[in-house]
Formats: sequence, C-alpha cells, structure tokens
Amino acid sequence: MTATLSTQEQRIATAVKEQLGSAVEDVRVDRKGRMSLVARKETITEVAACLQRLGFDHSIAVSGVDYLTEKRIEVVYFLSSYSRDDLKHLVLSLKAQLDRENPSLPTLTPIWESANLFEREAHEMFGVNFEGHPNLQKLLLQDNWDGPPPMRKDLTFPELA
Amino acid sequence: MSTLDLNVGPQHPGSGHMRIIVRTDGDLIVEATPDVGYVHRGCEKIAESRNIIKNIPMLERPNIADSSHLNWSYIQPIEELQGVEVPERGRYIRTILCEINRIASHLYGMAIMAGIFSGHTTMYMYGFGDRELLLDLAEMLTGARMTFSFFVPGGVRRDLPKGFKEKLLETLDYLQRRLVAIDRIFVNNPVFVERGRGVGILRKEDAIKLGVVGPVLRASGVRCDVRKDAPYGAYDKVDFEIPTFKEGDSLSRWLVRFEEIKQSVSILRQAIRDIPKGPIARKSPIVIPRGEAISRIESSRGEINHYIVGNGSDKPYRVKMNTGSFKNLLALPFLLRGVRIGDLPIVYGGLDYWPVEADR
Repeated sequence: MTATLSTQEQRIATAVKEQLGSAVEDVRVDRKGRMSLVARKETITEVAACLQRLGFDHSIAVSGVDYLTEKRIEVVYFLSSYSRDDLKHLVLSLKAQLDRENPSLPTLTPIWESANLFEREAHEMFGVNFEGHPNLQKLLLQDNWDGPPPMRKDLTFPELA
Repeated sequence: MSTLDLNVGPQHPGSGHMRIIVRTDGDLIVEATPDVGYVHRGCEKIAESRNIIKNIPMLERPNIADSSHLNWSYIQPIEELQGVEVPERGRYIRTILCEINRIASHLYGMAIMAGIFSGHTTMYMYGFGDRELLLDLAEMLTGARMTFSFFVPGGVRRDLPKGFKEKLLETLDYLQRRLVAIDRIFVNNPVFVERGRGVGILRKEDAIKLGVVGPVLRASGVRCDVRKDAPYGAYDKVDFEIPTFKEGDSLSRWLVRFEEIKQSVSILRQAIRDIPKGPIARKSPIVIPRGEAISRIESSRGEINHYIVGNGSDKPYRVKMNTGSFKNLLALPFLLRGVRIGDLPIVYGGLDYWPVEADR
C-alpha cells in the first residue's frame, strides 16, 4: 500500500475490519476513490448495515457477472455517499459470490432502497433470487420471454457479433 | 372508494416509449406503476460479442441527445485497465464536446417540459432552435450532429478544426443573450412558474434514499456533481459552481438545467482559452486486460457508470451500463402518488426521463 492511499480509503478499510471481523473477506483499496470487499451470503445483510452506518447512503448500481468456467455468479453492489463530503469521491464495491446452479441472496433494498430496480434487473438477466425483495417482477424483458436468464454466458446469440 | 386504472403511453410523445399504469381516485393519482422495457435492445449482451472499438457507436446510441457522455463513460474504464493516460489536450477537447452536448441536451429537456408538457410553444421553438447551433458546433468538431463516436481509448479522433474557437465564442455570445431573454420571458413569468411550483416534491432525505442523480438530485438540495466530487477530463482545471435548489419540485428541476447551461457556457469559455498545445491521443491496444473497473461521468441526466470486466481479449467479458434515467425511474411512482392527473406531464417532464437510455 503506497503512502498516497493511506487516507480516507484506509480509514474505511480499518473501520470495516474492526467492526465486522471475519464477516468480510478481502477488504481492498484498489486506488484512490475505489475500494472493494467480499461478503458471504450469510453475513451480507450485517455487512450492508455496517456500511450504511459508516456513511454509504445509496447504491449507485448493482451488477451481476456470470463466471461460467468458475461456476459462480457474482453480484456487485456499488456504493457511495451523498450526505458525507469525505466519501463523495469514493465508490465501494460490495461483492457476493453465489452458486451458479441456484443463486440466491437476501435483498438489500430495506437498507438501500436505491438498489430496488437493479436487483429486479439482476433477477431477470442472471436468475439471481433476491430473498425478500418487495417486487421481483420482470422489468425490461418482454412478458412472453420464457427462455433462460439472457445475460448468462451459456446463452449465446451468434447473429449479434 | 372506487378507483379507475388508466394507461398513459406507450405511444410517443407524452410518456416517451414507456407506459405508466395510473390508478386514480377522481383526478388524484393513488398509485403509479411504470412499465418500461419497450425499447430494450440488450446492449450489454451485444457488447460481449463485439470488439471494443465496434462497441463505441452501439453503446452511445441509447441516448442520442447525450451521446458523448455515454461514449466517455464506456471509454474511461477501458483506459484505466489498459493504463493509458489521455494527453491533456485530448482531455480538454473531450470536456469541450461534453459541455456543448450538455447545453444541447438541457435545451432539449427544457423545451420538451415547457413546450410539450406545459404548452409554452415559444420555449419549445427557442430550445430546439438554439440547440441547432450547438449541434452545428459539434458537427464542425466531430463530423456528426448527434452520435459522435468521437472518443476512442487513448484520446479523441480529431483536433479542433480551423475557425472552431471563433465560432464557439460567437455561439456562446448569442446563447448568453438568449438566456437573458428566456429568463425574462419564462423564469419571471407567473403563468409558467405556477405550473411547476410545488408539483412533485422530492425532499432531500427521499432523494438520497432513492439514489436519484443529476438535476433531479440537485433540485432537492443535494450538492453533488461528479465533475466536482471525482473530477475527470479538464474539470479540475476549470472554475464552476453547482447550482442547487431546496424546493425539490418540478420547477426547480427545470431551473437547475437553466442554471447549469450558464455554468457550461463559463466552462466552455475557460476551456477554449486555456487549452494547451500537444498531442490529442496516445496509442492504446485493442484489448481489455484482465481486471475490472467502473467509470463515473456526470451526464446531462446525472451520474452514469460503465462497469467493465476484461479477460484479456478484444471483447469485454461484461459491460454493465448504468444510466441517469434508469436511476431516476425509481422516483417516478414516488413523485406521482397524490398528484393530480393533469400534473402528471409536469412531473414526468421534470425528470427529463429518456426511455431508451433507461431500457438500453
């Protein structure tokens, strides 16, 4: 870790490790303004609540990624802050690794309402079941789409290339 | 209580290419459910099967009124993964095009809200007429009026053409006179002002909770703008303000755009004055190295992000597009609850919602 990074990012990383201990793995400061940490499915609600207390008041995006060869689906919550001036420049990615056969994760909408539509999108595009989500209906896809979740890597459309 | 369900849309214009299912009691809206996806094209899926250069025109299409910002947001994480730094002149040219684009897009949004949604035809004509001058400038620089495909990894495609500075300054002089006229005719006009005042109020706490972005956020009193909070391009070299309002109603959202045009004019004057000499681009490889990165760009409709995962090939492994309109969509049912049905267009117009950008 270089000296330039021993700033706000480092303080957040230390606070997260202190407050959560083994509930998080791999707390990393990637560069100025970017951090990432990995949470397990069982503890993600606890981790999210802690991050909210630290000042991350909204999620700027949620993305699914299908790692086909590694047989896992990753859900990434990108978090930032509107109310804390010292956190505005920061994007923290909170990641969860899920089993590709049956991906499910407790919803984080009670903590970050702003994740609502993104979780719906990840549900229809990657088949991730967000347990407890208020409305896991289709969002962008047509109502008559009955194929597999289209963003999965094993579904290809050769005519698109 | 007997309620009536109405469909607003999906025919354009009015709702855009989307449908709002509105449950009404008398003329009060009890519940509004937006039904989106009519213009979903699967951009993210298509992007995985094309190389990074072929993706540029495809990924900026979702918002033709604001394409340079989508273009920059897609390029930024690729450059970060490649470790390519854009030369300073290239960063200035990008900033200039983006501010031209921002003014054009804001004029568009202001014209639609005042002209189509509240019936002030003059503002519609003013907005679209003046926007044409900005599009002429963009065409002079990039060769295209709206979808520029001008930013490539490493820099920009072309240098400023001969006579561009003079034409830009001439247009800005005209625009400043015009802004005075718009201020006199509309901002100080009770007929226009009363239509949007107090309609669709979003309080500061709710704006933060719902994670709205851009003018919608700043109209609710949150002083956040990526250009200041995490500067990119030449935004750390120019001096500008972030206009905010505390009312959080539709009128404030319109006024934020109006004030932001003034700031953009000032940014453009500084950028064209201070632009350094030198190269406009560096060479960059046509592969995305293994890794992941996310961009932050302040577009006309708020912060946009592209999350890109690379696996060392010339095609991105994953592109997540995240646009301002999609984030502001969450606020629509919230704002419409308890509003009169006649005010629906004003609330919708205030969000400056761009359906294609949201559906991707």
